[in-house]
Amino acid sequence: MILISSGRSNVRTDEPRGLTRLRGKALLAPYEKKVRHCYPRRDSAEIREVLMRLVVLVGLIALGGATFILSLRSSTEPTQGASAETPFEARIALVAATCANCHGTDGRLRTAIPPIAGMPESFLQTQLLAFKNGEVPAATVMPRLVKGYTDEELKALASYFAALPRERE
Amino acid sequence: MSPSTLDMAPMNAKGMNRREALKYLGLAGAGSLLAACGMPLYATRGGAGQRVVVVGGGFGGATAAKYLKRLAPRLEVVLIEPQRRYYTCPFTNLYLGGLREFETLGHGYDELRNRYGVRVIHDLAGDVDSEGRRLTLGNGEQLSWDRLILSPGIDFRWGALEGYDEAAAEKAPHAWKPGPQSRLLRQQLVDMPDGGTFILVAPENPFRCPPGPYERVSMVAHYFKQHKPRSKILLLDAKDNFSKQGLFMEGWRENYGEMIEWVGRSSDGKVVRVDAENLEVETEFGEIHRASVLNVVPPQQAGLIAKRTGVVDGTGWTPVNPRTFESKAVPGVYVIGDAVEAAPMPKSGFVANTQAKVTARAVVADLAGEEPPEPSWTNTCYSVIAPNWGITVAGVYEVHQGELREVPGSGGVSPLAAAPDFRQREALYAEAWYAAIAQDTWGTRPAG
Repeated sequence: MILISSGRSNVRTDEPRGLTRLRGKALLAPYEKKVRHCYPRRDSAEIREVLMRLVVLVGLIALGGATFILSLRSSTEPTQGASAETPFEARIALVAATCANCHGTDGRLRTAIPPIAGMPESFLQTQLLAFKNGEVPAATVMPRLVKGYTDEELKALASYFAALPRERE
Repeated sequence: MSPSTLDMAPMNAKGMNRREALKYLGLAGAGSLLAACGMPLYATRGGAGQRVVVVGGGFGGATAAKYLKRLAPRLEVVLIEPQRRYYTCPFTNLYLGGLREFETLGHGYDELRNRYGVRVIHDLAGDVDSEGRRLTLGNGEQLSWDRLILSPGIDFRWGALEGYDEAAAEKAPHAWKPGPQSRLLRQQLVDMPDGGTFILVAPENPFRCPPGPYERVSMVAHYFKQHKPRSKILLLDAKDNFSKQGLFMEGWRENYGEMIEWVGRSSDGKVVRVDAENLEVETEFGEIHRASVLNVVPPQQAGLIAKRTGVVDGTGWTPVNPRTFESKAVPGVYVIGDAVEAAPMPKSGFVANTQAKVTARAVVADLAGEEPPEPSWTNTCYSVIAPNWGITVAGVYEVHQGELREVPGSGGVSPLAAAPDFRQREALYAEAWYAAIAQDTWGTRPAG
C-alpha cells in the first residue's frame, strides 16, 4: 500500500492539503493498525485474511483500471480526459469550443443558426470548405471565420462535430 | 496520498457506506497505478485536490468555470460573482430601442452549480494576497487558490473626463454597465418630448464594446423614428474612426435619413467637460452642446480587483502572456475579458468567452505540468441597426512570433451595399447568436 500513500508535492492550497491528510489517514488507518497488530503474532487466520484481501485488492485494481479506461473511451463529453489527445486534437477541441458561441455548447443548439453536432461528416466538411472557397452565396459570417483555419483543421472539425451525439445524453 | 485515490474512492462508494467503501482500498489504488504506468496526468488526476478560483461571472468568468469543469471534472472550481443574476451589456441597446425586455438580458448560475459542480459564491472579492495565493471575500471568508482567473470587466475612470463622476451619472447616465443605469437611460428617452436632442459622448480607444456607441444611437434612432420622429441624435466622438464605420453610416442613412449626426475628433467631436446638472457638454475647441438626454460613455480601465492583485500596468489594463493569458506580473494569475490588454482583439463578450476557453485549457494543462495546445480565438460582433438590419465584424486570432494577431486573410466586416435579405439574415443571426452564447456561458435555454 506504499503506492497509494506516495505523496504529491505540488499541492499548493492549504485546505485541500489538509483534506488530503485527513482522508489519507482515514483510508490507511485500518491497514496501519492491522500491520502493527499482526506483525508479532502472524497467526494463520490473519495471514489468510491478508492474502484474501490482497487477492481482492488486485482484482479490484484490475477491474477499476478497466472500468476507468472504458469510461475514458466511451466518454460522451469530448473534452474529458483531454490530455489523452495529441496536440493537434487538443487544438481542434479548442477551436471547436469557439463554435459554441453561435451554435451552442457542443454545437447542439437549434436556432436560426443550425446545430452541427452529429451531422454527417461529409456534409460538414463540404460545407466548411465551400464557405472557405466562397461557394456559398447565402453565407454571412462563416466565410470570414473559416478563412482563419487550414483545410486540414476544417476537415478535423467536421469529423469532431460529426462524432458528437446530436442530443445531450 | 495520491489525488486520484481521493476522488476514486468516493466515486466508487455509491451504494456503500463509507466504512465499507474504505475496505476496498484497491479501487483507490487503480488511478495511481495507471498514472504510474504513464497515463497522461490530468486524465487520471483530473485536478483533484487543486482549486481554481474565478473572479467575475460574466462572459469570461462563467465560461472559464464551465470549461474548467468540462476539462477536469474533479478540479475544485470556485466562481465569485456578487450578482445572483447577471445582466449582459450585449443587447442592452436593443432594450433601449424597445426591442427587448430588460429581464431577457439576465442569466443565472444554476447550470454551473447543478450540472458542472462549480461552487458559486455571491459575494465581492475583497483583499487579495497574490504571494500567499489567497483572497478575502466580503463576508470575511478566506479562499486560497492554486490558480486564479480574473475576469472583472471594466471600471470607469471617474473624473478622467472633467465633471463626470458617479453623481453626474445619475443625471447623465453611462448605461455602460447594465442595471439601474440602463433603466434610467430608457426612462429618460421615454420621458423626452418629441423634438428633443439625444447626445452620446463616445470615448477614445480602448473601451468595452467598440461598436457599442454606434449600435446605441441606431437603437435610439429606431425608438425615435416610431415615437418621436422630430428628434435629433448627436454623437460626439473622441475618435476619427470607429468600428464598422462605413456600415453604420450606410445603415443610418438608409434607415434614419438625417436623424443621426456623427462628429469625429477632427471636426471638434471630443468632449472635454461635462455639466450633468444642465445636460451640457463642452468640446475641445470650446463649443457647448445642450442635450435633452445626455449619455456619456466614460473612459475605462480594468476592474478594481485586477489592480488589487497587482496585474495592472500604467495603461490601466493588464498585460498578459499571449499564449495563456497568464499575467506578466503575477505568476499563477490569469486575466481574461475586457480587463486584459489583448489588441487586436476587441473588448467584447464573444472574445471574453473564447479567451476563457483557451485559458481554461492553459490552466488545466499547467496544473498537470503539460504544455497547452496552440491557442485560437475568435470574435463576431453583431450590431443591430434596425430590426431587419444587422451587421457584423468577425476575426480569428493567433499567436505569431510571440504576439497576438489576426490570422491573415481571415475576418472582416459585412459587405457594403449588401442586399436587404443579407442585412435581414444578420439581424436574425444576431438574436440566434445571443441565445447561443447565453446558453454556452450560463446555460440559459432560449425562451419558447
